Amino acid sequence: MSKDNIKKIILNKEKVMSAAPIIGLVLVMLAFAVLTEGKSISKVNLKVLTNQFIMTALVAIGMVYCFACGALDMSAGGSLCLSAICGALAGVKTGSLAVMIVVVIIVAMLIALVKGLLAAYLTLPVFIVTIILGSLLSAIGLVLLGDETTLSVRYIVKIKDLTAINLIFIIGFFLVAMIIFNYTKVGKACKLQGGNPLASGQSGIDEKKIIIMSFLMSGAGIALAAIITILKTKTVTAASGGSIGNDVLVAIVLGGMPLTGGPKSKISAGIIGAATITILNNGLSLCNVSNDMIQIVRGIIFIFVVFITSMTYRTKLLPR
Amino acid sequence: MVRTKKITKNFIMMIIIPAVVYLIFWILCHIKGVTNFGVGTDLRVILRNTVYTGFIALAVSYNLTSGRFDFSIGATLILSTILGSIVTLQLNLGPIALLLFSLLFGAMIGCLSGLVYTLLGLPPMVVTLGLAMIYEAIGFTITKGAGVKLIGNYKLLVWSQEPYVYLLCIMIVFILYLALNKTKFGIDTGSLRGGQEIAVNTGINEKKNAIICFSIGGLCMAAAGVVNLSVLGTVTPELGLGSASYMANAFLPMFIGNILAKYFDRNTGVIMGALTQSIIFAGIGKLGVPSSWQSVITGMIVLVFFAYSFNSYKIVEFKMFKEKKAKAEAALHKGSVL
Amino acid sequence: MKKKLLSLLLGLSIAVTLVGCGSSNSDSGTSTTEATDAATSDSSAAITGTYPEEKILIGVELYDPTESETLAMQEYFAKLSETYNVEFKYSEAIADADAEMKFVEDCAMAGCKGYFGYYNVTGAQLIQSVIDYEMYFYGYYDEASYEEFAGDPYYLGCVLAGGNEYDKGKALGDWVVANGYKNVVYANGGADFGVGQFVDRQQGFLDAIGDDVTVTTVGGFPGDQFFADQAAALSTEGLEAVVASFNGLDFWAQPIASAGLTDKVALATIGSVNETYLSAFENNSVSLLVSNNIDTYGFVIPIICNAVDGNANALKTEGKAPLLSTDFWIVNNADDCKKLYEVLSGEGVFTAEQLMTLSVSNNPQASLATLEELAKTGSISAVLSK
Repeated sequence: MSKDNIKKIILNKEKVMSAAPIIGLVLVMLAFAVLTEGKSISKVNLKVLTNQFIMTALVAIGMVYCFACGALDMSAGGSLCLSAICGALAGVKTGSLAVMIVVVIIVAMLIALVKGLLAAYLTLPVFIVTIILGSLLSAIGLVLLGDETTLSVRYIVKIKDLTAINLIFIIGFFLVAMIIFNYTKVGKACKLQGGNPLASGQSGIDEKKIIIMSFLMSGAGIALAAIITILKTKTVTAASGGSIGNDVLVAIVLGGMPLTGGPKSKISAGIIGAATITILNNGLSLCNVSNDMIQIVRGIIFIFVVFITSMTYRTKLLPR
Repeated sequence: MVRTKKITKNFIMMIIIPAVVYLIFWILCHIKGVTNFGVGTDLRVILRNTVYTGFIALAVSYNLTSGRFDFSIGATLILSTILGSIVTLQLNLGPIALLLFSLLFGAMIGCLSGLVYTLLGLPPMVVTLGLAMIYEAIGFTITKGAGVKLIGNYKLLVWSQEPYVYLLCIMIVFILYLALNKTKFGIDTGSLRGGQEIAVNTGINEKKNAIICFSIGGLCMAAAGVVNLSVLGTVTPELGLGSASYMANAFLPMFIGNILAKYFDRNTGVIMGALTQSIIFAGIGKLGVPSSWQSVITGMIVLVFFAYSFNSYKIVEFKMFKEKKAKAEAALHKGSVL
Repeated sequence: MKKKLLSLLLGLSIAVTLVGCGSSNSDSGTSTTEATDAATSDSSAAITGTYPEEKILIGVELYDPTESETLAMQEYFAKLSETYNVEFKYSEAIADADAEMKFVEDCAMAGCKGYFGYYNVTGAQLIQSVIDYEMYFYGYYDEASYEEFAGDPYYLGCVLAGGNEYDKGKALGDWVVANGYKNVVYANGGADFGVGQFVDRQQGFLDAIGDDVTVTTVGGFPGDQFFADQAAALSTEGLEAVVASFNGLDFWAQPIASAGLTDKVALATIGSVNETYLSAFENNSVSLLVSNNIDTYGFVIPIICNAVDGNANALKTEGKAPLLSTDFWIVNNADDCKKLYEVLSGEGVFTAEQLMTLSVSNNPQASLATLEELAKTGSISAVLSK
């Protein structure tokens, strides 16, 4: 075989492999369309799906930056909880929706800045520290809530149909994130940092600046998600955003993102993975099987889809 | 003589952290007028919590120190204890059977996790996340959601009483001490930690090592499960990844264990770390801190501890740098005077 | 080659499980129904065959799918589903507002006609969301939300399964006073975190016991801190009783036994009658159980079926949805517990036939009075005399 032919085969294989997450998404969608007799792809359900996948998608897109540069941030849930609580408290005190949104954004970015500084200047194992930090932030939120366990903002938020806002947020954030990640110096430096920190340091990339920038991007995602959750549910509790840490992890892995980061990171992983996991959860719920069956199926499908989508970055040694 | 001195020094270093923390809280409690901290029943509870948290931290340490994060340990604890209890009840056996069956099931489940990990070659966080979902669901289905209830079955629930709980702890730590320090497995684990690619190239079977690590993790979690079962008399299954919260308290003991590893043995170090953590938790409660603040304070203590232990070398570096600078300036000064 | 085989195996197992999912979906669609005409002797039109004709899907929001009361409720519903052509859609563990919203949306998409707010995170907001999706809401959160929605055609009120929380706490306090205990431990659950039901129970308890009883409070839920506080509390000098506002049997019986105090310290708790309490009463692990009457949850079925038929107004007065409650049960001996458990696991406190009397299509005379009468038969004296 000539060299050109071999190259073509390898390139085609790579193309197919990198399209694996999208193929996975389409397969899951088709499977549930059949199983729920079309209910899962009805117009109303698609609208509901958009509403449901927004939060996970926003946080996941921001989180891609952190994972790409090698800082595995597990404290998304705690950050979201604390930002939402602070925003809601401010909103209730002043009775103004605008104040609430502004406070959410400020608190989320501040928390992200603190996390970035901790990760950049103190050589800490980011993964474990953010797990502890996540529960610490939720605990602070609990203290701030004081005697109330739930805080309702029904009287400040009068918006009923969120579809327009959802679409603007997700499309806008995705475009901005994608452009920065793929076409600017910051995004490329991020990927290089995750792939080989030593080489990137030697090439003149400021490791600390990149880490802080990536945390700020994820903070932006968390801020937007916190705003959406307040607008949608009109309530905050000490458990707000509780499971989003795990959901986002599952989403970006399903989207084909390598957990160790590096050059093979894709910004599309955030949005495709979030869509896949939402369709999966929604479809399983529509099937109306018992809770334990749902979980077994979810676990098996998760491992299977990850197995397929991870073929692009398989290594000879056992992964860590 | 030198050897005795070294042994004494190592021994002191091992117990100094928990001892100092105990003293600090004892003084604080006395200032506040609380007299029942760390003595009598309180001490017994602290020691029992030490064993429980220590087992969990040991399980985490065998995988996390090699860079593998295991989400499924909570689910392993629940499932192994459920299976062990069911078999013991079916065959109408005693507490030793309960312990041995649970340990066996724990090791088997851990081994299964390790096999799935090595065969699929996926990142461990991902594999164990999926396995946790599956184990949780199995535990729920087997018991139809009700879990196992052994309340009042005093014959079986001895593993939270003294001296059995201490005997269990000593036995498990002894076995792990031998495994980590005196066997080829232990030495291989160390090599793989140091440099994965080089170790594999020298012929170490990484897959076998990983499977054994996972099995040990499962074994320790089963031991923790038996202690927990003996305290409460029940095992309740979880769903929705609720089992992931079991490892929340495992990190501090594990890191203290890593620090103390150079003085004697990592496993004993982890137990000392668990003891420190139990003393801190008990002390904070005794000082009358309101429940909602307790999580905040303990979280901060753990973070500060991490920050210090990972960055203390910078202080030493800074001092060294200052000394060097002073020396260089002194030499320069001397040179210029001449 | 090995990897390819493995991926094929995984793929096959997924296909099998998905097929299993699909088939269980169609299986549950053909649940058996029986004609019920036993209790309709005084009504003119008896229903034979399936009722309701078209299967009704009811969503149930759960906090903890592994809790014993939840599991008992699910069994009772399964029993009632043999008579009523209804199917239940249970949620997974819901802890925050977003998960709750997702479940409401999923219920709406799955075609649920009714929604049972067994658990409610966001209060009035949940009721509003369910109503917006044109599903009937059955449940109660608090006074304010009831007043707000009582007149809404989609709000169906509730029959509470055990009265209010304050009274339950008071019952515990009354027991302490009646037995002359002067030194007790009170486990207040989430009262320190501001969780409504625990705060009410604690208030009822403290108001009932008065000032001359020494109370050691243990707060929070099982964890390191809880066990330390529990051990300290159990070692109090002269302790006579432990009063638990939740799950006393699961979290206190064994520690009391391990401390060798089973004969010296009495245990009272709030919970719901189940198998474990049978043996607990017999070997004196527990002395008092303030129990919900979980079969009261069965009222959700006829009330929602009425609404779907368009007959919701039959049970309303002045256009306001009904809000009733059955009494909670005070169980303090093994025989009562046994009898109650027998009824619960047998035909149920409220049999399917009795519930049918509330369905207007079956019994055109059904009214609020019928509901109140039926609810009264759920009191402990009525059940014990069955």
